Amino acid sequence: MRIRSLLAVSLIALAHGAAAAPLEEMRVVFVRDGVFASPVDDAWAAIPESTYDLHAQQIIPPVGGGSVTKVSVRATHDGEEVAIRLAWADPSADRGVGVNTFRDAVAIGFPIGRPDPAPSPFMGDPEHPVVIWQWAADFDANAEGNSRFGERYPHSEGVWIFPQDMSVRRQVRGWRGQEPVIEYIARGFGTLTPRMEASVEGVSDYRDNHWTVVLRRKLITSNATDAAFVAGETTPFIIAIWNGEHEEVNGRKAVTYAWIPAKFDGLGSTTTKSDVGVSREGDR
Amino acid sequence: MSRVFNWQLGREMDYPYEDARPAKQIAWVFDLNKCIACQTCSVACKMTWSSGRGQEYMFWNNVETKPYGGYPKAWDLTVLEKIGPGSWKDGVYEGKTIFEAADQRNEKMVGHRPGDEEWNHPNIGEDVIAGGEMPQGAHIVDETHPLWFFYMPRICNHCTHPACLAACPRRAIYKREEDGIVLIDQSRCRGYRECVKGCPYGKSLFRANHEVSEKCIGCYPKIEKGKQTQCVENCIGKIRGQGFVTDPKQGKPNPDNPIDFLVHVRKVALPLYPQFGTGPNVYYIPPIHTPTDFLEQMFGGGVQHAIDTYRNVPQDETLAGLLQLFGSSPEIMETFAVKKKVALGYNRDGKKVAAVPITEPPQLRKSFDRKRDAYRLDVT
Repeated sequence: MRIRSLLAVSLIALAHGAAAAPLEEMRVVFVRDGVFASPVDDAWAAIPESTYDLHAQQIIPPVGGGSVTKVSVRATHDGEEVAIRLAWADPSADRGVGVNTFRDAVAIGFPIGRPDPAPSPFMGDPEHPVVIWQWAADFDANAEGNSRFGERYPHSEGVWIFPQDMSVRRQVRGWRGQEPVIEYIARGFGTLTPRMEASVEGVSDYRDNHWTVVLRRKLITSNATDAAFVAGETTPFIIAIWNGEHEEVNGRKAVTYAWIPAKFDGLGSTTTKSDVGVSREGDR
Repeated sequence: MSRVFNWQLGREMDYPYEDARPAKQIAWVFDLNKCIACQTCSVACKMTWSSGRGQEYMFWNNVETKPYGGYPKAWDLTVLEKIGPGSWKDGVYEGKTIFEAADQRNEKMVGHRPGDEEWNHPNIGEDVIAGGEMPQGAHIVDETHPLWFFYMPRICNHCTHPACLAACPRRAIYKREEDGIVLIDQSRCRGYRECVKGCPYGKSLFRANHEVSEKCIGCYPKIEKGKQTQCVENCIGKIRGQGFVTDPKQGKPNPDNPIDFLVHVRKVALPLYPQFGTGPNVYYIPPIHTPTDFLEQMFGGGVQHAIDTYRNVPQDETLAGLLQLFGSSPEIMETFAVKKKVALGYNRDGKKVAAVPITEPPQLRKSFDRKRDAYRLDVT
């Protein structure tokens, strides 16, 4: 009990930015011929991997989660795009959603702009919003036309005669419902808001009890309220992973408890895809 | 966390959210003695609001049979078990609410998130009797008999202290200032299902294909126009009355207000499971032939008084008249009066919208109808 309350106190201290020691730096490797968009691209093997411990979310109710304990990250950029590859062990691929069925998901968050010092890594604050990219297995399945929703809800199949159904759906899905990645803005706990503009693409792979997800975006977008990535500089980010099998959703998730510095290689670096020993043919 | 006075419990309680009272509080009274489970209310609601794909098993209004029915299955028993036993003493609840039974760290209220299996059988337990066996050939010989069941129409209670609202980490749920209707903002809801778990009445429902939760919206477009909700207007048994209730801590109940009269003056209509602590605003006139101890568990300590009052209706002209006004106008009757054995209902502008005699004058018709050249058996 004492340990738990001490932990809670220290975590709250973390939440307020005090003594939040940054985690080990992740290198975003410069590649000349284009980033690796596919999670199964063999070229990733040559990119240095950083592994981070994940912990159950204990700051704000509902607390819990944390069944995924480690995530491995590799990243590349080519001066135009950045691709971040997240890999973690999960014995089951949970792609469906029902009232008691939960999906697997991963999210990474960045401060908007380049604030110094970085704001609270936990959803930011009203003056310092963060942008969050969330990839979810069910969105991924929907986007691929592979949701298998009708198997779980057979009566939802077939011709539907009520025209209001589509209008309601359009209203609810104000964001891109058919894409595997949703972008959000957050200005503190409980303020997560989906954003209409979408600039992040996500590709996933599940095999051998592992999820591998690549999130890809232009370094600079036309949106002023976005994370800005600059070659040669460092941008902090944070990771959260939900395991659907353990009913993880909402605050019940596994998180890194501090910003991870992502050091972008300068454009002068010489690493290319051929340098890391892989032909570009056929792997995009 | 705020300390609030819950008049239904007769005491203060902790509520894990801000205590914000609306200017007016929408409320309903359902007379359970008159419900025949025709499900016209369910169909009226469903055709209006929840007929879309993914809402196949979604009933914002449902009618279940008590004691064995439940939509979702065993919603009430599950919560009762979690809050533990309690009792009523002089109108004060001695026991735990769903908020008091929770540890407030891992959960704000003891909740229960039913699975698909629980939602997909809305008519489970329908017409199943309690009180004993009814084998082949059995017949009733006594004046009173031990067998019973009753029908229980249910909608969202648009609670004074909504658990769904307190449960939502996204603040996607809000209680309208103008009428107290509780709504889920569909654009803020992220489908975490905390409200589905938090609502002890099982009236926050998850729509899996949209990945958002939905619930009864109190037909707010109609309420704004002074009209009654679909389930009230379409009730063919005329068991439902709708209007606005006064919180006795906030203001003096108005005896000319139909809901105040039933809830606060005659105290014949009682909240459903007040011990949950959410301050539900659908009030029920308990079925008088049901065992009182069962009803007390369901409607709190005022059951015996309510039953006695209801049995006394033939001697109570005002109450008899008001009950006749149920279902007599599509408009919300905010005030009423009973004059010369005629019940009169007035809308929000004070305009008379209904006039109903307490007793219909007898009409005798001839057994042979000359105009239609037909004999009729129903001459009265």
